[in-house]
Amino acid sequence: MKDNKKILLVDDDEGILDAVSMVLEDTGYQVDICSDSKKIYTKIHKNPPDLILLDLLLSGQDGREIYKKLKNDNKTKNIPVVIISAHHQGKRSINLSQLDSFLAKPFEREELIRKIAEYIHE
Amino acid sequence: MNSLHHLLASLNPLYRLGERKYSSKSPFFTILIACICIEVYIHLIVKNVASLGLLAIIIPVSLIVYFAARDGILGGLIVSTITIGYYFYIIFSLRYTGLQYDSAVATTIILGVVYLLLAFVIGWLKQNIDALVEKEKKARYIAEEGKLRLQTILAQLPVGVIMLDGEEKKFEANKEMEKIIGKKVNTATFRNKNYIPSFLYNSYQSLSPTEWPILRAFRTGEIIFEEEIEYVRSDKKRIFLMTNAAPIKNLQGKIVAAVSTMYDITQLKESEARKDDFINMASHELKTPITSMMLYLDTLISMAKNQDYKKIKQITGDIKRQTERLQKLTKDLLDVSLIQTGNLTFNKEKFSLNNLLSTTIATLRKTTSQKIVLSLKKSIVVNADKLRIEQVVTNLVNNALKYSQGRGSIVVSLHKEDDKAVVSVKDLGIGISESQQKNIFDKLYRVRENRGNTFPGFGMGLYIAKEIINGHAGDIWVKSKKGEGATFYFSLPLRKN
Repeated sequence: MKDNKKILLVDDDEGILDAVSMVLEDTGYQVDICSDSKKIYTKIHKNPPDLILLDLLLSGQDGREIYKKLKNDNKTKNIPVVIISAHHQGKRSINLSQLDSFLAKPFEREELIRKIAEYIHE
Repeated sequence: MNSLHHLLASLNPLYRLGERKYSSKSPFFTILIACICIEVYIHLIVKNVASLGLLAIIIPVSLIVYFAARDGILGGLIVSTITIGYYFYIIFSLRYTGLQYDSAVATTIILGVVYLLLAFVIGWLKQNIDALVEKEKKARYIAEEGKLRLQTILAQLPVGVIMLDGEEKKFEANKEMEKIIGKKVNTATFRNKNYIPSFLYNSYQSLSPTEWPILRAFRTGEIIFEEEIEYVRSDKKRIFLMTNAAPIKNLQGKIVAAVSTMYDITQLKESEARKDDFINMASHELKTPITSMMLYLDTLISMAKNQDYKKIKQITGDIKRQTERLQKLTKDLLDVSLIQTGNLTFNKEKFSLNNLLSTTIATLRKTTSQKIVLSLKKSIVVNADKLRIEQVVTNLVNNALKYSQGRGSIVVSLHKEDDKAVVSVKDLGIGISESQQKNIFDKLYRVRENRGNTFPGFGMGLYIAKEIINGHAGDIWVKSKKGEGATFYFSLPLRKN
């Protein structure tokens, strides 16, 4: 069931946090949001999500470094990550593992839902 | 000693080679005086006519040779002619007759022809040598002058020029070149073709000193056109140079020297990088609200089917907020373009700065949960563009909110200082390092943390604020320490305008 699936949304833009979580909750996922890059790790360890949506350009810490840290941690490296970025060079600037993928801003509701469905099967 | 040297020099005709100053007076008077002296000596002192012969030949011949060599053909001819005339005077004054007379006249004619020839040949040689020496002097002068001209041109060029002279085995550079590489170019001579001067050494590691265009041109004859090289100066500044180089060949086609020009394109590169950064940032900033709007609209469409009015109302409010954000971005972009084209104008009016701060802060308080403290004392009235000053205050407070990330409260205060009104906006945020403080009012500059980590935003706010304040003859500045927050100030003159 979708209801059991948890998605962690990491972005520092309130508009994105609000709109994306609205779409995801509407679709039936459980959404946890995080705008403070320092709290990500404790959040993930306490309550591991099924998928992480991560923005590349965050205030405080670079999304790329967060990504690297997640992939180097045995506990978190198997959680799939979808990178969302408005940077046109965003995809080239990051070494994505095969498990993960990239979603360029701006994206539509259907695109977002389809992308997440690739990882989370009912 | 010196005057003796001068006297000898003026007497010695060889010293005058190359000097085309010929006199006809001194040969004339000298030979005349010589003839008179010979007459006086023979008739009044010695009274021996027989001793006349030797004197009358040796003295004039010496004078012919001397003046021909000193004053050219004319000098020689004058002396010869007077000498011949004197000989005839002697013949007539001795009253020779018959065979004696005939042989004396014949001898005089033969001597006369020899004297004239002698004067002509020596004079002709002297004049030719003079012409040659003068030609040589002129050529040397032209060459020297050309060299001087070239040196002036090189010194004035806004391009660095470096020359390697293979024959003299040395390097030379113009002032601009030394300015570019930040040190003197050593002119020390070198022994062989593989020599590398020390000033080429601390170049960036990607370019080994042997790959310097000027050395390649000199060693292989390669012509290098618009090659970009990097150089790290001794002050650790990394610069980019656009460089050309070419060998210089002699008439036999052998490479004897090389020349290279360098143009510092560091600033150009930096502004290019800034422009790229700006385009990246602009697309990022514009795409973010568009993304949320698109998601809201998609949701709205599905809501409309269910007729959930409460949710629809909430979403339309969200869309409005994102649209306002886009509006603010486009307005900032327009302001930057107004500033750059010199079209930023102000509608000045008298208003109370206290009232403006109160209303602006009240509006800003609605947008944040962070505390904004307003400290006002005596009422201050300024003559300025109210909307633009409000824009500056809003920019400064929004920056304070952005960079303090909820830490502490923001304090806005107003006070009078001499004949200026000073507004300050203080935060307890991440602060700005000293090196960044000079640049933050530049166009499109954003505070970076460590490397790469940036705060979202266009980097236009402070630039626009600076232009607005400067346009009012005021100042804008910052006091900050890294990690200890920042206080931004701006002042407006009270008596002017």
